[in-house]
Amino acid sequence: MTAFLDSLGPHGPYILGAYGVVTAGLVGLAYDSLMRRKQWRKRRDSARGDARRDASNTGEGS
Amino acid sequence: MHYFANPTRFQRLMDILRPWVVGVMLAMLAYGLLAGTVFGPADRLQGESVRILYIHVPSAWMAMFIYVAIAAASFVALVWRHPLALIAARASAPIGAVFTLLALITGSLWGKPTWGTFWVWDGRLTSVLVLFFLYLGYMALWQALEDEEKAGRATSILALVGTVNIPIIKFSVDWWNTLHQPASVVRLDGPTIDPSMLWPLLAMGLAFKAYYVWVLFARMEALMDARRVQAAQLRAAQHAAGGAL
Amino acid sequence: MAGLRARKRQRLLVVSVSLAAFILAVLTALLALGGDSLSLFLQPSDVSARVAAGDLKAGDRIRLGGLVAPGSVTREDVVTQFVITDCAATVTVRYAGLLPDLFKEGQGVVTEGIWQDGGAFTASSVLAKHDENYAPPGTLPDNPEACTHPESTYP
Repeated sequence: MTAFLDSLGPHGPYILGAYGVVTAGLVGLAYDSLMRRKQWRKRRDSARGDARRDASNTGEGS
Repeated sequence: MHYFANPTRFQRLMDILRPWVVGVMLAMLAYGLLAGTVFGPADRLQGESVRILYIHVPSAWMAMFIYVAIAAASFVALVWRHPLALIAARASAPIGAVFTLLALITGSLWGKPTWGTFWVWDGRLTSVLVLFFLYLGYMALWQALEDEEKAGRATSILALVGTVNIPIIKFSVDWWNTLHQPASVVRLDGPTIDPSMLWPLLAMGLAFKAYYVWVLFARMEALMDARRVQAAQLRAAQHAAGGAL
Repeated sequence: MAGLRARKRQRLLVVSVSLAAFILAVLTALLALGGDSLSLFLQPSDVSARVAAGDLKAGDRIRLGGLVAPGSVTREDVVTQFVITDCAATVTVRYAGLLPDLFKEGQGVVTEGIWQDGGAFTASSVLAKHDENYAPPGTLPDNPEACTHPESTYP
């Protein structure tokens, strides 16, 4: 680890910091986006299910 | 273009493109990081800190590219009223904001060891900070306006007005004296970057673009589903009201 | 249907023209009125022009940038003295403090400090201005030509 840091020279912390921030930012954003898609897909499917149930319920009632 | 304005067809297009987009992203990322960050040469003056180039510059490119994409989509939305264009613009904004913030932070972390300061109020840095605030304002406006149609129009106008900042960012380093150096890649007389650094940099640029498309698709799907849920709820409410009568 | 198409064409015209007009107006205002005041620093010839015009007086705080003239750097204890040039004019700078790693003869700098009578300039900060060239060691001359604008070091 120290050998690796030494190989980056005196500015190692800045370089690692920059790569760390970019990795965290891009992974975080991708995670957030995929979770959003998953959540809304679930809600969409349940909304469709509700609609179908409603339709069949009223159909039975009439 | 009209052909894919249909959400179902667009969904199919996204499903076909997605694996290719992810593939390009991973391949370019692998090449860029290996050939640039890990095995690329150090700079004659900056030494090792030049490795920040491979993430800072593509982030800054994306910050501007995504803004132009939002503006173009807003233009289409204003003139032709394509709901998908509006969804694309809205879904792009957080991605652009993240890239702008990353460009600012990595630039700051690069500035300290090279220039000797984290920040300076020169034309380039200030105009990029303005870009970040434009993204935030655009997203806030979407949140603030309840009525989708009104929000769509207001945000589109804001996005178009903000495009004036894009040439300012690009040419700030030519129009005024700045601490930030002039363009190295996109310039009339060709790049001033050694090929051993230029190719990995371009690969990283492509990787970031593919990442944008990948994440954009996910966010657009979420927004499209949100609209469907909204429409279903509206129908259910109307149905219930009709049933009560 | 024709009415819809005509409306769309009209919207296209209105949006494009107003956008173009707005962008043109802002850029013109910025370039014509903002001009120099939007620059981060003055170059030595700007300084001589301002001194001649009486716009720059002793005690004024300015930022001064340009190339470090090759062979001009001397050190005395903690005080570094060097000449900033833009090829047309020069200013001698005195600075007591830590210099950035990239401070080098023939390279760009941006300094901030107080202008004093007789053309002396004492800087309170010195920043290195990197040029647009990126290259591995040994592929470009380390010391660019003595007198060119910092933004066009290489042809």
